[in-house]
Amino acid sequence: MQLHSTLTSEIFFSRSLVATMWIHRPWKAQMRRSCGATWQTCDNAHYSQRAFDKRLIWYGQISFYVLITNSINMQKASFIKAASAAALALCIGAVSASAAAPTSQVWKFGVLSDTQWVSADDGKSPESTPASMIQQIDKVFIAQGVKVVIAVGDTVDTSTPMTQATRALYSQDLYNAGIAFYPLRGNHDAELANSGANFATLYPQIINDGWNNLTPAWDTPLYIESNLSSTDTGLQTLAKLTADFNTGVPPATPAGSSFQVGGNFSYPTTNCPLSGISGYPGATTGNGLSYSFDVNNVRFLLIDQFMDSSLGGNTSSAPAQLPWISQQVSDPARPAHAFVFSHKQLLGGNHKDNLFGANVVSADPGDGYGVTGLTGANLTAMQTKQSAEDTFITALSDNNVHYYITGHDHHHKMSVVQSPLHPAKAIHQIISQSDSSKFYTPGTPFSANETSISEDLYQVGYYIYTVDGPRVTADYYSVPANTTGTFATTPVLTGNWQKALTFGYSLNGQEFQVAQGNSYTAISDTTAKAILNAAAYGESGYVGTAVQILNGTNGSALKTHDGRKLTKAVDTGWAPANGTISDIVTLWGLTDLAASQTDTIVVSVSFNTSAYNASDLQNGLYCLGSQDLKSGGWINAVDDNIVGGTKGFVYGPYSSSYGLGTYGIDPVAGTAWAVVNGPNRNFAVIPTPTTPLPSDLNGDGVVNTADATLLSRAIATHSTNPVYDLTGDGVVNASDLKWLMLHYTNVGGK
Amino acid sequence: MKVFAKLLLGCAVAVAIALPASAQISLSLSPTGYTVGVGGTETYNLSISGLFGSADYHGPALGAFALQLDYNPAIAAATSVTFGNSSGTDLLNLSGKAFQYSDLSTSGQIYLMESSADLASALQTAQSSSFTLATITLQGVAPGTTPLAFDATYAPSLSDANASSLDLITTNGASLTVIPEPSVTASVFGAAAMGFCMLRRKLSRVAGCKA
Repeated sequence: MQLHSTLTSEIFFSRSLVATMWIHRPWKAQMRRSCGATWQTCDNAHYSQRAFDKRLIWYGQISFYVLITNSINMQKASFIKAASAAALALCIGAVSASAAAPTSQVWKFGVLSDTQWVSADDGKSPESTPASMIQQIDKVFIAQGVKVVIAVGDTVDTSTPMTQATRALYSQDLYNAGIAFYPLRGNHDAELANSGANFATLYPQIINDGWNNLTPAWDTPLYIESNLSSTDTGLQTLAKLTADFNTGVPPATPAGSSFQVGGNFSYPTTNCPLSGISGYPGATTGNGLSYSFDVNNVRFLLIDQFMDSSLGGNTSSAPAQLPWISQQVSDPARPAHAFVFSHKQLLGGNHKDNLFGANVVSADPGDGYGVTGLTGANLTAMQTKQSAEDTFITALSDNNVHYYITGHDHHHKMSVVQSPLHPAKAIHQIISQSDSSKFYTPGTPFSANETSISEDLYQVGYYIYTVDGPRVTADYYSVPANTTGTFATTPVLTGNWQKALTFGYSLNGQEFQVAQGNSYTAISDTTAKAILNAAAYGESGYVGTAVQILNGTNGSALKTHDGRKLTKAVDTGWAPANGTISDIVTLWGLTDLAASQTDTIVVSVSFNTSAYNASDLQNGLYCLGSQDLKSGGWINAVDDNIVGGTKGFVYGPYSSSYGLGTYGIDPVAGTAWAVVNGPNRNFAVIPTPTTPLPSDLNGDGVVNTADATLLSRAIATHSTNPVYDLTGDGVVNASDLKWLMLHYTNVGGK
Repeated sequence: MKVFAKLLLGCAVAVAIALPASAQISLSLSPTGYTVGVGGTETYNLSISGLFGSADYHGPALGAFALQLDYNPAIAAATSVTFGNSSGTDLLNLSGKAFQYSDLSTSGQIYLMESSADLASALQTAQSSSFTLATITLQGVAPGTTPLAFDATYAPSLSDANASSLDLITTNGASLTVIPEPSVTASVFGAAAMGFCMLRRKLSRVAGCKA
């Protein structure tokens, strides 16, 4: 197996320094007035200034190729051997990449989708734009500290110059918070002639090297009419729009200077130039709409399939972009991670049209699965589409692209999609939950090339992707829409968000797909790959560790809306030991949608038992720990268990007779193991904690009714003592009581 | 007929799209007003509404609540609290392991807290969008009217089954009017009537003398 690993490092001057060097917004307005021209023309006149500024920004890129010729897929039987090999690999320093600049800082980007308002304006949703909903979602993006927000298409419902401009106004909250916004057109955006030209004007960052907060002159909505359309055919009059802004949900007033997020911008100009779009403002003809750029250790690649407007909304110019797409994901200089976005998916639930065009016949689920008897033009169309899909999936699969993220279907769906021509090639497709007022229900036909992982219908949602070196954790938040069709009243989202699902992957881990009823025991991994690539990911300090699930069955009964059983995609990932005895392993994907616990499983993690006093091991001074999701502290893994079980220590190997809450040290295998079902996902061997658990308020070693009573009295007396704030949300209330109850009966045994 | 059908369909669609997009969770006491005599008791239902019902694909179930009710102790006294509805059905206590806390010891204040020990899936299946959390009994102490109100300073808190806060939109309190006991009323009325008669007789005599 060959593994290509690349690393990109960006170093910027501080934003404030750049801001002082960069052209100031009021100056820009002055220039626009003095030029008597459009803003864009005026801005272009100052490209020399921008070039000068850019010389002051040192943008370094260091790339590494790590070629590994040996297979590192470890079989269960070689578990212990692999652990030893991992430790040995660390000792001999398998990779020497001394010049690597660390990029392992944790950072986040957000994703939202399909911001379409289809009903009459309720005072909070002008011009087919759910303005209030967008503001509520931007609020959580800001609170979560994301650096970039990606919008995967259908930014409005009915596309007019007015609606597009209105939507752009509601990006200002992000800009004001220093968050870059990178949108993509969907079919609803593209239904307007020349919408591409408007798009690049409204979001100049996509053609101006990532300089954000340059959206033109939002001081008055009059700009919309005078600059974008003299014959507005929008849904509402300008007067109504102005009234909305004044009395409903006014967009944020622009603040601060422009700022740059992203570099290495690339466009498919050679193979797929823009067609049928006049007045496009790109500096180079064809720039924009589809584009890729790099931020830290991630390459973002956004595919606009409507670049040839002559093709219509239900066909696609994506096939012509395949050479560019392949080049971008296989680029040796590519950062370690790459995420590919498009509005339309490959295999949808409700929609059967996809990234590469319309379904050929009604029985076509999108990839031709199950379709027989085609002849003539239909056969040719199907073959062409399948070939394009195969090229696309293969390019992503072969180049370590884990997530292909889309919108269009107005529900959350995560699945593994295989190539219709080469089943060994597959990608994770994540259809993003929409932020629309309308909802779609999946329906036949479906393709057997799709393995469903999770599905969630009739919600409003958003995603936070946290990038931590080689590891990516995605959190999906949602609010129920309370309808299966369309709502007409803007929902209250703030305060109602639920973290419905967490999933993730690591470049130094593996993925295991476990069907319902199947055992988790196939899950086994070592730090071998992590150690080999540590320097490339800016990491050090691995001690060499292996993990294995010793027991447990996928007991989920969840199905898709149409009755297909969901499969669990369990990913492993590694981080070096950090105050722990072993390296830290992350297990993503064990929890069902909206669930707070996993199946009961036995996690076993190796460590060097010979380095510790035998009596200490025998007396339970070391254990398998898990990292508390809220506090970040390490606890005995069984203390995270949810409702039930008996806590007890065993010195010896795991036996299937041991129940939930049992944990132990196996001196022969050199492992710490525990029978767990809690939501924590980071595991490592640790010294057994001696301090009381956060929930053990009276410090008697158990969490029980006495602690709940103490907490209740604290709530009744309106305590602000952080000791009682178990959820860490800043208040002592019912959530803390529920949190304590979740960790109630098992801790300490009863 | 076709026109009528279209109209009907249009109305149905209008109703459908007018559904609220997300729940407006509220806590209410019912009935909103009671009148009792001094020493008499009345029982209020504490209910939650606006939760996402089981018809939703997945919605938050109520996992815990904590709240404080206030009343005027010069007029009424809290005598008892029972979790669940008047039939004893407690949709936070499906397995009988819920933690329940009530404190009536502070005059004029009622503290109520309950945290379920049941799984989110079980709660979601069992709970509807509206149900009764508890019943509260007040006794009249002295004539007058007292509110039975959710504390204005410390708002009730709600949690879903995964220990995430739920946003409470509204609270609707109640009141208790205490009137004098019937015996007291009768004696007061009687005494007044006798006094009136005596006064009238006295006035009559005085008038007779003058004549």
